[in-house]
Amino acid sequence: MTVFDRTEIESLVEPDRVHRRVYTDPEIFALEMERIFGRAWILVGHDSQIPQPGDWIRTSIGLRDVVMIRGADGAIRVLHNRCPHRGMTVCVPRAGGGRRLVCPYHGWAFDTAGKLLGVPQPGGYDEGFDPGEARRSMAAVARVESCRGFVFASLAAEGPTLAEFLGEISDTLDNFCDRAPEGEVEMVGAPLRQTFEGNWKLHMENSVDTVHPGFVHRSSVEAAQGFIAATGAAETADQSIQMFNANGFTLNEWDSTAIHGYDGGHVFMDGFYRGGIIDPDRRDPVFEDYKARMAAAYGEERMKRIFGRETFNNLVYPNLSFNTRFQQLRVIRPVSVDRTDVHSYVFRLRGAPEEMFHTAVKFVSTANSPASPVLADDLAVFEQLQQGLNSEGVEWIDLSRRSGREEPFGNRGARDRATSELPMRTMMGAWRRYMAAA
Amino acid sequence: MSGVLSSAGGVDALLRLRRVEEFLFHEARLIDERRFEDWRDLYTEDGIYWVPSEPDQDNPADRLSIFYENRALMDVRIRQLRHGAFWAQIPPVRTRHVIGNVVLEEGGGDAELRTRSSFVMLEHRDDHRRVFGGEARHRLRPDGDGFRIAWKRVDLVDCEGTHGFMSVPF
Repeated sequence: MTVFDRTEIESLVEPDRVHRRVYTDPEIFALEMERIFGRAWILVGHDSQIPQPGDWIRTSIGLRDVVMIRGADGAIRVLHNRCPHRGMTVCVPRAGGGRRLVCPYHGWAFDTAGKLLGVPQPGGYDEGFDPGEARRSMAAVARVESCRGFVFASLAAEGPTLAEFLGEISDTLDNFCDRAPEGEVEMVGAPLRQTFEGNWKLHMENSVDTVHPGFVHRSSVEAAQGFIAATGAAETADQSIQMFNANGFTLNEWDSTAIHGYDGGHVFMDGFYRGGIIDPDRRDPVFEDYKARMAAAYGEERMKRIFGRETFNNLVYPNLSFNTRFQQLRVIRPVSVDRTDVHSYVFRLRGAPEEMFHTAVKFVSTANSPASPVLADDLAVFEQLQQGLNSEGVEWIDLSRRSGREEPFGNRGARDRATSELPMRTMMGAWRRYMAAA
Repeated sequence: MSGVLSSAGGVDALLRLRRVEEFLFHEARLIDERRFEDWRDLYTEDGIYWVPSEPDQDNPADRLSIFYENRALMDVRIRQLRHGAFWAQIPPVRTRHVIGNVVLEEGGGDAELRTRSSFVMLEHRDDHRRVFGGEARHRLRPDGDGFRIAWKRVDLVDCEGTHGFMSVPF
């Protein structure tokens, strides 16, 4: 692998522009896997996926295949999904459970903490063979911490704690869970899985880019508007049609909302859905029932504060995106410099009416299905965007929109009107710091 | 061995099966010829088109779906397919279905015929070729000489797999 010197890396990201190699160079991608995905806290799952001791799921940290497992002691660990014997993938299905993990290749058996229990025909090894030795165990990922049931892991033995890493964006993870009357959420079912031929950063940037909907989503906006004009009011249209229509916000309307970035690279944008079943203050019997349960759980004042924190996409750098109002969580999984998978999950608010969950299911399907009228256009654009970046000759991309106009926000953040390219500059600032640190 | 030839009323049952087959071939041809409005009009007013994201998924309300569309959503999709700035369809896909293994199922009574069939859909777009395949289940209501679709469910063999964007029905 090429050894980059610090100056070369830093020269790729200027305050208002970025070199296209950041999106196209396979060696830069390899370095991202080491210096960003190898060091940051990466979401590996949610504790509701593994409720019983011995339950596990296969998941990933960058390109590393790992297993999130609940031990016999109840603690959640993250293990490299590799047998210490010959390197075989130990856990082959997407999920499983039991008292032991057994390697399919030669039958080495491990306990739920990854410790070797024994090997077949142990007489084949010398007397010095000690199953208790660390090198005989399935290797544990260096650090694992949880926030409100969301399990994060870091491949780096040292570095900021999860709380330090998240900083103020942890407020939105709290809000995700506080919206449940019981204060807990539950991941339900399998995710939708999409893929596109483009760099992982394109998805992160696009989800907080409020200028693109008016252009990229014009066809779904106008299709929804045409349907509404032909049939009646937007307020009574199907939830998905209301969602398509909502992207028809004008740039002035977007600029009446705000976007926020934190030094760690985390970003969030204000909510913008208005009217009908997608309105934050919707008025229908299901929502009245939900509000009554929230008021009973938290009291009116705290409930108002919880609902008052009305955000849309919230990004935890480098690859997590979630929506608190519709219980959506997306993990952006880099595959190669020009291939990315996205897994989109839905959660149930514990203690809320079941119809609230149905609204979330509909939201996540509408926004994330590979057949979504909205998402299909995003993915098509990412692929053409990647092709444009791959084509040499124009070396820099511009991120200067409303540069320098932001105002301070919170302890270590900035905010501006939503059409600002502040989120892209925020993420690129974090990229530069991670990548330049030897 | 079961089938129309071994059942009572052999010739009538065979003719009925053939009518259903021709209807399913017609439906597929409307998609392949991009006659999407005609395809939509095969559905009853309360018709549903559903492509689950999990095998054996039994409920569209509490699990994620790839497609779950009523007539209103079909209508919006078709308006988008006719829109000049639908980037996912520039250039448009070209598709061709092969339908087979059509069987009539018990249940549904006189008001509704239930069918299962297999399909393969070849798709070409912009130098990319894809193959989709799986099983379709139809609930058909007799309508004049033909049928209307009250419910169609498509179980892709790779429904829980990783997919690139898609825009036309199967």
